[in-house]
Amino acid sequence: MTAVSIQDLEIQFGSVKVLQNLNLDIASGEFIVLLGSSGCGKSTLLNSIAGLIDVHGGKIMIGNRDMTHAEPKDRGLGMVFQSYALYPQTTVEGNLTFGLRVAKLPKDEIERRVAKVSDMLQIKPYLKRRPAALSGGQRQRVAIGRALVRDADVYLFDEPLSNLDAKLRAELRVELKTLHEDIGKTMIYVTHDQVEAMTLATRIAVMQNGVIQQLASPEEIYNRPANLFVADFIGSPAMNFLSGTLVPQGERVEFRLKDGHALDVTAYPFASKPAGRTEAILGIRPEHLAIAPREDLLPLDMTVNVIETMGADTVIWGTCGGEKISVRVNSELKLNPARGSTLKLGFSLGSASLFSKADGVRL
Amino acid sequence: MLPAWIIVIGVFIGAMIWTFVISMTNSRLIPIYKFNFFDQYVRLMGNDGWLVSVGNLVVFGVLFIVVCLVLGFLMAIMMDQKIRAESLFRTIFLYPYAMSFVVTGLVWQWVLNPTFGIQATVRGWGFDNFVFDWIVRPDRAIFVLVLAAVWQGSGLVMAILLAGLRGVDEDLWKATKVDGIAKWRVYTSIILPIIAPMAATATVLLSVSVVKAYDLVVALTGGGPGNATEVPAKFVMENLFERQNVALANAGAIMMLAAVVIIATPIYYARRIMAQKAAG
Amino acid sequence: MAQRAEKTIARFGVYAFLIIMAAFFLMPLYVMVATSLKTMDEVRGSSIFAIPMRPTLEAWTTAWNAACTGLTCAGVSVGFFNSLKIMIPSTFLSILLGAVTGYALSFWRPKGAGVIFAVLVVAAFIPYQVFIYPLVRVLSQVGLYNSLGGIIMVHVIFGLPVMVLMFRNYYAGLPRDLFSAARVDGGGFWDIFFRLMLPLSPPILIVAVILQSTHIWNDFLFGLVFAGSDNRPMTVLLNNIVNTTQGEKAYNVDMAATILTALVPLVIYLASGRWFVRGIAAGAVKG
Repeated sequence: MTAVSIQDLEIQFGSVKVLQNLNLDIASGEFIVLLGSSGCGKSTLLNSIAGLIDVHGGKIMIGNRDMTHAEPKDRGLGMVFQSYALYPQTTVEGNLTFGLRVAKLPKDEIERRVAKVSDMLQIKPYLKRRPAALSGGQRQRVAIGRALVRDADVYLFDEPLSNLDAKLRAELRVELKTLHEDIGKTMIYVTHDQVEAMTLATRIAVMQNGVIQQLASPEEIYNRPANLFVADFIGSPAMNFLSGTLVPQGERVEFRLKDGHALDVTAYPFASKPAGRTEAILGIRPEHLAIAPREDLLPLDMTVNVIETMGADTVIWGTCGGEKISVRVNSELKLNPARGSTLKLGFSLGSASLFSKADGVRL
Repeated sequence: MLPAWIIVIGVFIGAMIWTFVISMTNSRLIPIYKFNFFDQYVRLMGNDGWLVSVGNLVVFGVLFIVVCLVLGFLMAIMMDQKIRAESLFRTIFLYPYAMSFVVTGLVWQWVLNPTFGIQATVRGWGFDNFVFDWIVRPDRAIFVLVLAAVWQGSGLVMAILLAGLRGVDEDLWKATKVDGIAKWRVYTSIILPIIAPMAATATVLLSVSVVKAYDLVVALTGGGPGNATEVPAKFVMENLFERQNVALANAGAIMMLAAVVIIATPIYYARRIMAQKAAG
Repeated sequence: MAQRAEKTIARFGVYAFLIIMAAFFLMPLYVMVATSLKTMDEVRGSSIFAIPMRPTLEAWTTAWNAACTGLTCAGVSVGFFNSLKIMIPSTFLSILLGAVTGYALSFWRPKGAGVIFAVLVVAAFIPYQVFIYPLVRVLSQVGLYNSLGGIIMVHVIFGLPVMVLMFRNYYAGLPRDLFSAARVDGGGFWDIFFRLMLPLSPPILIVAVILQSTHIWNDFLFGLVFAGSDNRPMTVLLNNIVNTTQGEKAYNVDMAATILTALVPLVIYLASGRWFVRGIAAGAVKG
């Protein structure tokens, strides 16, 4: 069992600092997903863990050993690439055994491992075929197999499902999850797809501009985003944001929307109560807005604009005090409010988030 | 990487500097490091053999490049008309490029031999006054050099430009057909700018081979008659190995290098600017 | 109808142009072959374009083993074998060195890779005359001047720019993940080169072999300067035979010797077909 620890990592390309003072502790057996849009530094981080790019400062510890400048092959890793990176000139079997042959493992050991892995991934029928003769899904299975035969302690995945179509992606996602539960090895997985992140990860690291914005479980990230960036990045349709001002009045705290509408947010679990008037942003996920106003909910009014039917759910788009918001409701409710009509909404403070307008941090 | 480093630094850079250093001395057979700086270059500028060589090279170079480009472009266009036996024609146009300059020189020397070659043959057909004796006429011999060099090199230009033509978007042709633009117009105003980078590449290649021209001259004319086809490369070689004028020879070599730089740099920058424009 | 006629005339024009050009390109080859198959009497008595009346290979055998340069009369066969001795190791070594360097530049990107590459690209354009004198001095210092080893070394050195360029560009076209995967899989510099990159390289290797073997075979300048009298390549020998004979010239023998010299690159060219064109495109920087 192997933990991975990254301490004060610094990486630059030319004079551009891509990662700076980055810290990340990964427990043994975890499934960590590095999530972010392209250029956020997630692949750079993964490649530095693999030893494929040079590190300019800080430390990378794998299983309590300093691997900052070790050769990739000495780090005890297996890695799966987005483009599969299968060796085209040799068969599936040749791909699986390349690393083992280079390492001069005994023949029966190689055979044993190939048999085990090809059983596990159901790639036995095409061991003798070349990568060019395989479909995308089969190729990705082989690429995963090639990482698995190394019997590594840590597995790295660089957007492994991005080149597959939606259906195959969903299938392999489940397989990967099962695989992780079966072998229990530490896995580090890079993706820009939040569905993959939410379903696979034990913890997600949301990254932007080379900085980890939040490292937490999928539930935590979804329900209690650490800042505006994370709140906006996760979830589709995106979280609704309403700007206003927090006004403390003795024990009570009021949130005044721009149109003057005031909400009593005293019960909100503030990290620290605002001392004075504070510019803030209220975030509520579309599915946390209820259509039927109830006593225990805080009320909001929405002017309806467009209705999108998405199968199980229906999304109603509109404005609230001049700001764009959306509401996700169950299609079974068969709501069909007229354009321009007003919809009475309600939400509970427990599912809402408040962020400081100044620095975007959760209050 | 070590061998590459040694060759890059030791041979390419080192030798170039050494040659330059020697060109600043008065060395004749062995290097003597007594510097007289640009004396050799001044001598070179006053040396008839060198000046004639340079003049010959300019005439040869300009004619060779222009004829090669025009002929190569024409051949490429004709080859692009969905003709039959394209690969046969391609093979025929390109085979001279596979041969040594020495072979090219010797063959053309024989074909143009006034006593036995084309002149004799045409006279044999009854045209007794037919004259085609350029190879022995000092004022015409340089054109013989051009003829042989074009024979060897125009196929290359054709191949490069044809590759460029094949890269032109088929839809572009369809669009011009719909617009009713005459074919020659399309070639001159639309296609030519598109394949300009390939033409530039071909021009660089031809220019470099002009400056390097040596084998062909030695085999075809030996620089004669008189000094009608002497070229700088031959001048350098003779001063290096026969006349024991090492410093002068190296000064000539440096001048050749300068010529390549002067030709190649603007084309290189032109291509970069074109590429940048294309990239937006 | 008028339009169709116009089209036919245009087609006719295209073919007429191509056929005339083809005749121009083939004429010297035909004259060369025809002359070589004639006796000297027939050469003197007929046009160079005349078909040989009694074709004979006499001139060919003379050219092969009896044509004279100065006092030695051993034909071009000596040069043929010399050229082989020069070409085979030079081609092999320059390709190997070019492939390894191109691979290193492309994937390992050592410090200064950019500098090496830039110098090599520029070096491909520099006239050889700039390098000749220093090379002669150095090679004679270490006893390689006028030797087989020396001429091979010269070919390897000057083949390097184009070879590195070709291989670097080829490897740059391969997905980088492939290299990363092999490194994670435990491959070192040579493991990855021999087990992964080389097996992926046949297309570029073929082009490189064609390019280098014809270039080295056709070389005249280096052979003249560096090979020495014992290792003169065929091109140098041929030029000596044709251009330095005293007395009456045996044109039929000259032409036979010329064909024999052109034969190896011609065969490579005809056998390689489209690969040769690719070689030109790939090695287009070489002049």
